[in-house]
Amino acid sequence: MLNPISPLVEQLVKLPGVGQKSAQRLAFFILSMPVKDVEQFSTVIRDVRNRVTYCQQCFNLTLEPLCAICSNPKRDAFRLCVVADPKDIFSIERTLEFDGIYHVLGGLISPLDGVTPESIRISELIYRLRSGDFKEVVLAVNPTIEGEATVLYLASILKTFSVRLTKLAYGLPIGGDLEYADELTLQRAVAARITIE
Amino acid sequence: MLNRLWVRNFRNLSEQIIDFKPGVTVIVGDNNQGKTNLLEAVYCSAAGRPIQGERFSDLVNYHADSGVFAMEIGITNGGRIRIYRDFDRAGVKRPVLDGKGLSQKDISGHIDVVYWSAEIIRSFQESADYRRDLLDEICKKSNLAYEKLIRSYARVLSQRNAALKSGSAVLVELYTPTLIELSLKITDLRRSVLSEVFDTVNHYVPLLPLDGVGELEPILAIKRIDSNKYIKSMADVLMECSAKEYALGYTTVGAHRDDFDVLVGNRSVIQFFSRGVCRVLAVLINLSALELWGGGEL
Repeated sequence: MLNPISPLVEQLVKLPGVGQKSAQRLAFFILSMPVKDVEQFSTVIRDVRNRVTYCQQCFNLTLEPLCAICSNPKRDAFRLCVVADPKDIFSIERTLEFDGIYHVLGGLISPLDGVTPESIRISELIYRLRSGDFKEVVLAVNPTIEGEATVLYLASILKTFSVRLTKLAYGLPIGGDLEYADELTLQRAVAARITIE
Repeated sequence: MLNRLWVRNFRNLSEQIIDFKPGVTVIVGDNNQGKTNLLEAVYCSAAGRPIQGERFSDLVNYHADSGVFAMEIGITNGGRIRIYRDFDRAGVKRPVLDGKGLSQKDISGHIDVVYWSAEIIRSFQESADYRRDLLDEICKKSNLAYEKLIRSYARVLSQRNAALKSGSAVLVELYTPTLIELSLKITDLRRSVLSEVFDTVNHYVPLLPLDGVGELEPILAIKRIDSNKYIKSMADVLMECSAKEYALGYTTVGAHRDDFDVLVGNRSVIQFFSRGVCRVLAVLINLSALELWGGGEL
């Protein structure tokens, strides 16, 4: 006889980081929720999926043609921060340190995964740089092998534009301890040390 | 030190509990009774992985689906800890101490285990892979960053190889600078570790009755690269091999092709000395690394 909750478990295991056991626990939790809450939950999932699209300018997630950042006149439209995914925008926005606008590449160059410069939004970035008047482009991608390769590629492409090209600094975590820092990070931190004004 | 070992369904050992006394333990028995399996069980239960070249799928007793390792270790403050782990054909479960999950690092601080058998001579006989594995094991002990370095290198190498297979020169060039940078770091570290190990090895060689073996000099053979001008030289060789690499679909030079030899005078130990001498040398290298970074004394 078919397990009555198995169709739900089968859907839940499709989520990242959710295995068979977690899916079963979530399924039992959903069964224990009031029907009203479950309906609201499923409606929100469908609505968000149907209504959220990519911003026409920066490819951030949005409900309107332009995202909240691109349509905000107070943002510095001369500084552009290039990120790999929309979730990176959320991380940078939380710092309140950057008031420019963004460009989402939609991935990092990785031949192993079949991701080439043509399959991410680099041509869109070049188009934006040609049509805008940017002073600075910040490359804010993860310091991984693929991130480094993407930075290298972008640096070679963007050197023809007269913009200040920067990338995020590598260094020690705040509150960290030199003794316990991993040596690669420490090496980068020493190499990129800054003068105390 | 290891006080007690409990092993169940490990190869031909259906169930064994062994109490160890302080000092050296010698295990004596007829052929095919499981002496080597017992040694392997000690290694697996402390290290959480099978010995080189083995897989967990081959370690579970033929008549069972899963087994158990448990050990009691005496610790420096006079106390003792008990570690328990299940294993099955897929691998080993996380170790548990008094019902609480542990990481491998928690255990490594209390027990250092090295597995040697007659196969130790492989590092001086067969392919360079064995020597690289030996180097990697030693370098991991001496430098905590080494493992991460090797992982990063393996990732760059895979990306570059995928780029070579795709035939895109632009992609290959993106991964080449990082490949060279990491290759240099790994090779430098290997060279300094080898030189430290051989300082210790040379200290012990005169104490052994080895005919014709004087001062030993380790040579890290870096395939086709001039070690004095590493970055420039590797870039040149990669350029030179470019057509061949695209045809083969993989990277032909770099730290993944490093090898080492040991010279006495100008003669290679591997080529000119007996199996016995090579075996003694392999043991000495391992012991020296243990003395330097394993916390023990010869």
